[in-house]
Amino acid sequence: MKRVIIQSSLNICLYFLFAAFISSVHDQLEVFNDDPVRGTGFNITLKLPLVLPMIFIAILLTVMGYLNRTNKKSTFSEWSVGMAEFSDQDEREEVITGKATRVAYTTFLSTLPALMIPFLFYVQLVEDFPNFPFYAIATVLSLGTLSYLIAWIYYYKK
Amino acid sequence: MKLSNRVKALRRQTDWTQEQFADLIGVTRQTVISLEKGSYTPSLLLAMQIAKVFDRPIEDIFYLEEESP
Repeated sequence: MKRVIIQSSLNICLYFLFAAFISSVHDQLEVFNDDPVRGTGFNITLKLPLVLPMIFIAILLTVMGYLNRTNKKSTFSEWSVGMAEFSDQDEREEVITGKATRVAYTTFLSTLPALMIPFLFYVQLVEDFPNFPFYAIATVLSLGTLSYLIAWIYYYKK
Repeated sequence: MKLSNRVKALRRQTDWTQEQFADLIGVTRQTVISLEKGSYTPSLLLAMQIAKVFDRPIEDIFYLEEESP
């Protein structure tokens, strides 16, 4: 159970970190088309004080996930390819994973259409909160992961 | 109908801890707890493994029971 809690929590943190990272890139992305001086292209400026802590946290979270892996004999490359939340230890855990995955799928089926509603006000939303789409996607992914985590714990303790 | 079992009684007869028994049948201790509580119905493969470990016929360990309304 510990590995599912750790890995799912790390995944949620990473979704939002990635949304924050993409948002910072988006904020500084400059696209120019037929510019008299620069022509056509784009320019990205990364603010290191913002990007570096994100990279550091992402590395830290990955290392934490690796240190808490179930199979201590697995190497980093083996661990990074497999998904820790699916590394079931016996048939009962496989059944639990199946049930939790079903709950997560149902959550996606309801949260994704629900996400379409705020997109009705997309123009206003993007004006007030330009990075809204990135955080909206991170929220949907997090809700699916969170429901997976809660369902897993529920069936595990049953 | 519900599949009940006598795993807890048989395990106690043999003086195995839940941990030891879990290792013998290749599952986690939490699965042994669920089995003994009757909240988890094992696969046929696991049931046969349990029967082998206890050296008893499978029907001595697992039996069908009417579910109380």
